[in-house]
Amino acid sequence: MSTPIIELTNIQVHFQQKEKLIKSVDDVSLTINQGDIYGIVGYSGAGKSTLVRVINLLQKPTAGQVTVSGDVLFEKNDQTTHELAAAELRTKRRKIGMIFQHFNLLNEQTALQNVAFALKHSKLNESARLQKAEHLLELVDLTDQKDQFPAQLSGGQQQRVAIARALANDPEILISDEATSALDPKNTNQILDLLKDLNAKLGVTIVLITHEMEAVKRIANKVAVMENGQIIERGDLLDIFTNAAEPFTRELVGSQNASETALDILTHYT
Amino acid sequence: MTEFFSKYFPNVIAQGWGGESGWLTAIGQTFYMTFWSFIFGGILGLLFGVGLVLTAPEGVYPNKIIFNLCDKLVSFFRAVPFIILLAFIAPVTQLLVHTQIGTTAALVPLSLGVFPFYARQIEVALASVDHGIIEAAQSVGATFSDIVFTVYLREARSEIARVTTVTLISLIGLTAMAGAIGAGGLGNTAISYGYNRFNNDVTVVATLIVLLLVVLVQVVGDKIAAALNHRSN
Repeated sequence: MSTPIIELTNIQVHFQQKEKLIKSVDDVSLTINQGDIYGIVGYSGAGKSTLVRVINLLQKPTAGQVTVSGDVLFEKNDQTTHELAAAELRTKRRKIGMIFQHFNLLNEQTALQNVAFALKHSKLNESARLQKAEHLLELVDLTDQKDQFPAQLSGGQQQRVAIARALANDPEILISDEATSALDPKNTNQILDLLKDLNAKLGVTIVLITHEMEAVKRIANKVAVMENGQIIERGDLLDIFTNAAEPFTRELVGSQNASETALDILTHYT
Repeated sequence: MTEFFSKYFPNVIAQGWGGESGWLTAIGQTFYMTFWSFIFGGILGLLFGVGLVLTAPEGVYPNKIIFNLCDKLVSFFRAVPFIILLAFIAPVTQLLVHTQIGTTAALVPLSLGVFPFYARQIEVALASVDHGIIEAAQSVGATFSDIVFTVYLREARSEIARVTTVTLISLIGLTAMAGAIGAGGLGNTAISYGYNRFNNDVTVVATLIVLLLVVLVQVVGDKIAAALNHRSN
């Protein structure tokens, strides 16, 4: 039985820009189950990144409820407003790893230091932290590069450092915000396979935001399609790819023959 | 050599090394003023610069009141010409160091003169830190001090070294004006002993020493900035 790990309920993120109200995320509800690799696709500007930033509250919604692992992190509606205190939020955030399109590593720190930085507030002592950081770099196959600065690493390697950093506090959730969009196809596939591997090995739930259908097809088991701040369609990967109801989804999926796609997906799954 | 000097730079030699008008005294005073006002003005400028970046509307801890206060104070002191600031700030100087003239008295206006400049420079240096890096730090639960020290100050350290060099050079320039309130220094030597007495040789030598100082600071500063930089760009 699958248990929900992320529950976003009636999330609304509005920005007031001069006279204009921009509805970046418009009344979106989304449930992601433990162990899912949940793809969220759509063109840029659809509100995907804003929506997932709501999960770890890098973006505070203007209304809605955010529940992660059964704890309400944020709730705001006409009657009530519930927000975590800053210290509590930091603790929760450490259980939600996140990786980014441009890796966002500390440029003046080595790969090892970047990972250890995420462990700064863990209960481990200094040497245990470094040991854990080294172990994490081993997990992403970067042992030899541990003393290199980000600028000395390739894009794919930098993203793997970022993954090690995101996993430092043993998160239950890993959010990937266009993490492969700045990489070449070979590195893209390596990173995607690594994510899938981590999902299988560690049981970490993955939220995969991307505009590349190929990425979703390769590793996701569920998909939501976003357009203009709303989820217009969602479901199992196979359904979306073979049986999309919305014309927009069909456009995203591409003109590829449906049975071919199904075969593609099935081969990846076995 | 000595003959050449006594022929073409007679007044330079007449100044002597030590004593009230001596070269070593003047150089010492310039160092003293530059060093201490850099310490005081630098700390103040760093605080204001960091404060401006953090509390800006698009900053990590937006705060309109603190931001506007910092912004207006910096803009005000930045707008007052230094030679006027020397006089304008005299009552405060009196209060702090119990005198309005001399080398130590000059530290007050010098610190206040250099801090807004440094604050703006720090603001620019910290703005070079990509917002994504801050977001990534927040996503692993970084605290306020992590954001300030590990992210902003450490990530921008090469830029900070660069703007600190620029600030030190501009501060050496300011100390030259401090002669107006009897603070001595190389600027004072160039004006009082050189220009005012028609001893052009003294002015030339004082200028050359200042030039040497500035070049030295620039070269060392560039080296430090380069050594601290591990960014790709």
